[in-house]
Amino acid sequence: MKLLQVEKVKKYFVHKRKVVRALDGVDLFVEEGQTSALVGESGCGKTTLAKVVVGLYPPQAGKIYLKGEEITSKRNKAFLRRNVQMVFQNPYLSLDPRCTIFFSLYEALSIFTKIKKKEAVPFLEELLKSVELPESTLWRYPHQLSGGQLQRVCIARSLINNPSLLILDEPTSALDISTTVKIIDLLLKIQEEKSVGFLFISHNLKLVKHLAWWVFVMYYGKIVEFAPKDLIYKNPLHPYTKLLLDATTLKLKDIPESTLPERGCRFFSRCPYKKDMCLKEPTLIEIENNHFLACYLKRK
Amino acid sequence: MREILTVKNLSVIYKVEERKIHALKEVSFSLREGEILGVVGESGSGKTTLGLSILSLLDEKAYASGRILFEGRDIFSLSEQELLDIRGRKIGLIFQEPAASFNPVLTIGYQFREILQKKLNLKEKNLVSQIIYDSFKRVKLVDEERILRSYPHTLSGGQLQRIAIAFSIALSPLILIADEPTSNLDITVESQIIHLFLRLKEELNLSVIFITHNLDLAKVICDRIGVLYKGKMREIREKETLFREPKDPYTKELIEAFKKLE
Repeated sequence: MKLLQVEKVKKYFVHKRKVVRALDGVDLFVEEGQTSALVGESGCGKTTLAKVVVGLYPPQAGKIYLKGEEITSKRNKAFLRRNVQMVFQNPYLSLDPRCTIFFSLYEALSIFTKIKKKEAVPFLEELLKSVELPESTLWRYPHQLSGGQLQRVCIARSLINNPSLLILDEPTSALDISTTVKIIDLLLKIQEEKSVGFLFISHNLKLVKHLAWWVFVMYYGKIVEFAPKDLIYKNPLHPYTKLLLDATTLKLKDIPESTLPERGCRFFSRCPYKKDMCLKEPTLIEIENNHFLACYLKRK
Repeated sequence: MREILTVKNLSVIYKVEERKIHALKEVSFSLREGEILGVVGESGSGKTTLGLSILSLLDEKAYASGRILFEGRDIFSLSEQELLDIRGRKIGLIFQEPAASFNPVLTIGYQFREILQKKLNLKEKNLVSQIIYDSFKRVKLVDEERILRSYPHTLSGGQLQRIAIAFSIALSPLILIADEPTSNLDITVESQIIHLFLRLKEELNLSVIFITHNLDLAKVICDRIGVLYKGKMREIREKETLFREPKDPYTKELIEAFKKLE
């Protein structure tokens, strides 16, 4: 059984009397204690999907299962909140500037556990140690800490109630490179110790390489290719995946601006291989063992 | 190669509520003609202050000492009028956030014509359109008629950054200072803008100071790289030797972190 299973999830927004299909039937999963990475450009729906999974947006259609339990229904709210936690992109905005780190952590702790403030101190000190921060950090305010330290606090807070799934939405893109490397090491250590599943959202394929088991490539609200990491990096099949990899290594030169066509394959306007049949949208099918692709290129 | 700009012992101190913050400490380097010089550093290392000092754009809370020599003159000794002739005309500046480079209530066309009129004193319509057309073509912007009629908020970040670059090169400057010009853009757009800089450098023989925190970018685009840390220029060398054998302890740490992600 998968830890997280997202099935045909749709989320539409209305913007200036137009319907924006932010998620247009997304399928995705995270295995227990493993990392699935979701990659794509900004605006493709990565963060919307994260918010749907944690229950901040209700989906219009589709089902989301956590450990086999459906979590889109109201009945399972408490179950969802205990088991799924999120770490956001900007740690400066994730903590209340007027509260000490102790208070921010205690607040999260006291939701599911009845514990007095005094008794919480040793537990929280221990928690901070596990994210490699000194105990004294507990009594600091956010402005006294660096971005890397704040992100560690956010990670610590998300772990307080022992969740089984962490959603990491670009957790290092506001950080410097040396800090990024340390945070990635920390995340790997946490995963090994606690066997937490990660949904790692990023546009940086270089980072994803260090964390992910499965890589899902998203374009305009739909998964266009997914496979285990090695297949994606060694044998990318969708032209969009190739484009992203070229962009990561800065080889990408001039390409058309992205536009979403009325019908057919959503990558049509940018695709160098487009054919007439692409006017009918390709579905996601297994092209080789474990390698799923929504493109006619490799079909016989 | 000829040195086109020389910075000597540049120090900048910001005074904030009685406290002194040393943003730059005795920074010295020179920019060679036709090269892209990378200035790499973490946030707070003084990168942006360095870019602003060169155009003497620091605010009144900042105290700068040292010398910045351009065309035989010290930038700090110039009058406001002389500076206006240099800013844009001789040394262009491209900022991190493309949307903030434009006036949101004026069309792109209006802003472009205004720049040409103020900076080059051009009023003749045909000449103005010719320059606009040429610079848009150089940065590979298509559909220029529509763009000129558009307001900034209707265009994408990538388009705006291309337009900002077009504005800069229309005045044919000798030097471009680019302060994290791609860090707010998508990776696919970033890669294209980087190649645009490389092409413009060749075509126009521009000298570029490219400020960034991203070593991936610096590795692709720069000829030489200077590493800035806590206001000090720790090391400045040819790109290849810097990546192969960094000397300074901080640079070593940075390169190691970078290689770990390779």
